[in-house]
Amino acid sequence: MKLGKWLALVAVFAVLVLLCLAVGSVEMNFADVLRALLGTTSKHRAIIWGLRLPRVLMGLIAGASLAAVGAAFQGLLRNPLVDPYLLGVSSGASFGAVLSIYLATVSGFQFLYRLPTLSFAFAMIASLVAIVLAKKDGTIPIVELVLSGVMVSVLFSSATITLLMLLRRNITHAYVWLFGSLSGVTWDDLLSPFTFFLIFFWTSLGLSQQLNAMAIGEVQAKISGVNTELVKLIIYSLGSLAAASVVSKTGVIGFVGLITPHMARKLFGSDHKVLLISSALMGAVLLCVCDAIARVIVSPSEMPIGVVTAFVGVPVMLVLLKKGESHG
Amino acid sequence: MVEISLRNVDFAYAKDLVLRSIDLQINKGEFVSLIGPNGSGKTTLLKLVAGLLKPTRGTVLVRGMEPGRMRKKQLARIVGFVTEDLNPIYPFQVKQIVLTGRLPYKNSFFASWEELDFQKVKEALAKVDALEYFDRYFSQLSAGEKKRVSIARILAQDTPILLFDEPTAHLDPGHAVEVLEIMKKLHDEGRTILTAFHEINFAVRLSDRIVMMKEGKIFAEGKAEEVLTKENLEQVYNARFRLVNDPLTGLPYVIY
Repeated sequence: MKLGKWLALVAVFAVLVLLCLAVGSVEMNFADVLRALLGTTSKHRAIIWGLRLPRVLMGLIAGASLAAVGAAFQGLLRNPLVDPYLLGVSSGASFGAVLSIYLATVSGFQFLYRLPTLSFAFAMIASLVAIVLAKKDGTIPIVELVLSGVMVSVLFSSATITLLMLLRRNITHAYVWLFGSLSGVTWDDLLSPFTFFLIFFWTSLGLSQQLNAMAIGEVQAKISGVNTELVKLIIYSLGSLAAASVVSKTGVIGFVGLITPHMARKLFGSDHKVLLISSALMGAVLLCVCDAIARVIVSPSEMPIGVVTAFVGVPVMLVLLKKGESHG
Repeated sequence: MVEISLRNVDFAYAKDLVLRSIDLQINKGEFVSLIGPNGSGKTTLLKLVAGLLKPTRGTVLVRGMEPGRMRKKQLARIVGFVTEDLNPIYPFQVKQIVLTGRLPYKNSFFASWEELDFQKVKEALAKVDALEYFDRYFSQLSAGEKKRVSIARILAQDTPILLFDEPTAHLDPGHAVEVLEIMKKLHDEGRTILTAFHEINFAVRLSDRIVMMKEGKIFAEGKAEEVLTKENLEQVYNARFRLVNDPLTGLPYVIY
């Protein structure tokens, strides 16, 4: 039964990736895509390799990363409403992004336009501040962490709104970024999200049994000899790094990191070794498909991808909820 | 041989002193029960022995070592603690929960379960008569079944010292008696047991020694017949009690 679900997931994954590559303003079928991917003479080669493949890969990496981080954070905090942006990553990143647009606009110096760098930096500053504010006697208590994350988020969001007020005319570019988009992604953009995803994924898989113990109960995990504070520090830091590196390239993509782990838990159970892998695969597929929809639904312009993830994710989640506990 | 020792221990949450000048020695293989009203410091004392809290003053020693300074896994191989509540919010199977009791014996990174771990889990579940729940989801069990599984989780940890915090709380008489029988069995195997009880007669039934606590201090300590006098009970609990002798055991039986 379980093997069947896995095979189905992998098969769906492969077909949907091909579908995502086929969708766009230039129409292609699966055969065209495969020829462009594998052959050297296809007329579609430039579109696939130059435009669509990096975009699809970014969708896969971002979806996998956000979903896996969401799964680990939800387990660690025993809170189903937690997402990868818990520690203020998204609002920090938004502030950095808008600040970069603001600086370049006001000064007129394009070299000040360092959007990914600044948004990554402020995302990390936000999560660091959230962790430091929550720290108490060498521990990171959950309630304090959630509260400090909310405070940091509110602070950076307010600062972002202030900058947007000041920007006035140049606001469209900032808004597009704030709602998340995979457009214009290049091969160079893939490196840091991919690297931080791999580091986070490998480490959290290594700690999956400790994550299980902590999801069952933090006190229980301590009683069983788990160094809970160290696990929290590692997962929070690497998770925030992974999320920040995604957000700095794509803007704030909501929902995937919140809802995908719940879908994965419904289908494959709560064991983190399985949950992290299934969340990553499902998040990758979900974001990739949502991006394809975002590209075509209001063509030639694009929908913000966060809006599409919500429209696609909510019905899927509702169906799974209605089905009851069918995992295992 | 002294297995647990608290010497002149104070503990305060912030500035609120909840344990004062506690002196207590527990020998290997002894069954000791802590009784006393809510807020008298029973759970705090257990947490100090389990290394979940550090004393504000004085020393807590487990086998001659301070729990707070021991390696976490080393401590977890010596002391097991069945806490009052085990309430995972995500759907976990019983086997997954009990397996976490094997973590003290595993690598911290990429821990993987071997045949021995599953065998220990099955033995632990069998000991609390819960082997049939192995593949079941924890959330589907009754309160009594959940309590037995949470005891099994600690038994899989295979520790010579066992701490229990109100093991019969929220259980109906039938399930409570099952838990008492499990505790007796564990004591008969030679384990050292320190437990907090609300139900005084349960403490009488199982304990070698009873420690009566009031407002963070040890009020009285000794055998049941020495500690459970009408005066002691009324002073500690601020309520009226009647005491009779259990015709079968000759031990005191408290009516309230």
